[in-house]
Amino acid sequence: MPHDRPEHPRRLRLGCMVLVSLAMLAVTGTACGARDEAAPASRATPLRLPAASTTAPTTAPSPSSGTPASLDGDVEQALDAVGASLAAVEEQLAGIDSDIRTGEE
Amino acid sequence: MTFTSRTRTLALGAFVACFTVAAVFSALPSTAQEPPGRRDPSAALSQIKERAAVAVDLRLDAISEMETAVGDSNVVTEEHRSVLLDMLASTAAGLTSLGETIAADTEISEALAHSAKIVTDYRVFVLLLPQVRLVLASDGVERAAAVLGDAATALEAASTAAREQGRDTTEADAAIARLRENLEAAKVLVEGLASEVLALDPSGWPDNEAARDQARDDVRDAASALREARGAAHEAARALHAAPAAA
Repeated sequence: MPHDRPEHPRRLRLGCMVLVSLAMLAVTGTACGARDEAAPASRATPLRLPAASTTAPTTAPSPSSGTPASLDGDVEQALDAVGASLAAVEEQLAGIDSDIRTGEE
Repeated sequence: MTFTSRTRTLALGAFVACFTVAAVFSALPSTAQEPPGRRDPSAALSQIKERAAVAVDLRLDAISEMETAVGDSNVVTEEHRSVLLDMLASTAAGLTSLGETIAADTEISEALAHSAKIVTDYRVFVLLLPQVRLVLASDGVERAAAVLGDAATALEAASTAAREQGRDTTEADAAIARLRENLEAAKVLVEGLASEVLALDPSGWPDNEAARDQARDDVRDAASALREARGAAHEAARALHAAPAAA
């Protein structure tokens, strides 16, 4: 009987350790389960829509108008229109790069 | 006696701790690699459908914006406008139908296979939209080249008139020559480009990626040549204004 008395606290300690271990196992398992559910949500991030160019190219003077260009007026005006058309071309080229980047993401 | 009991207790505690750690680490890989559908197939199917719907909508929105751009463009030829609008409408109809198919799928494997087709059957961002833009850009280059051609003709006439007046047009003629040279280079670069680009098909991906990139480089080079030509035209006009009388 005197022998049993010291054993009692040790058994109690042992029982507590087992309970704590089981509790840790349960908590860890719950955390793993929660991570499994959270991961797909992050994968579901929508693709980024590119800023598509919708600006219409600037109208260029008709080359078939038959109106001869004068140095002082019509040529300069035509060259301005060419510049605007080229800017629109550049915009489309930039849009292509943007689209491709989006497609590759 | 006490030492023995303590040792036993410690050994048992260590065993429980090791068991706990081993259980946790052995559980980690299996839960991390486990497909979402393994635990809840209906939730996984819903998730696949949701992602597919997002992907389809993104493409439909981009196509819609491009349809507006093509419709509003005043440099694209009417023939190309019609072809481009047909391409865009056809793709939009196909994607819409595919989206409905995915929404009705009841098996994860079906939904996954159909979802993959959103990309593989249409290649909206890497091919279709670049195709449309390349045709718009190519037509823009041709339109600008035509305007510059008229300007070159006018400058040549002015130079001839100046020479007949006894003025020195050497500098102006050199600028006009550069204008013509760059103009022709730009025309050659985009000649037949629109037809080649329109012939590219999603089924040919990724083999036709090089053709897309080549077309983009050609349009870029053509635009660069036209900028040079435009600068030469300005220079020719200034030189004609300033052309000195011949000695």
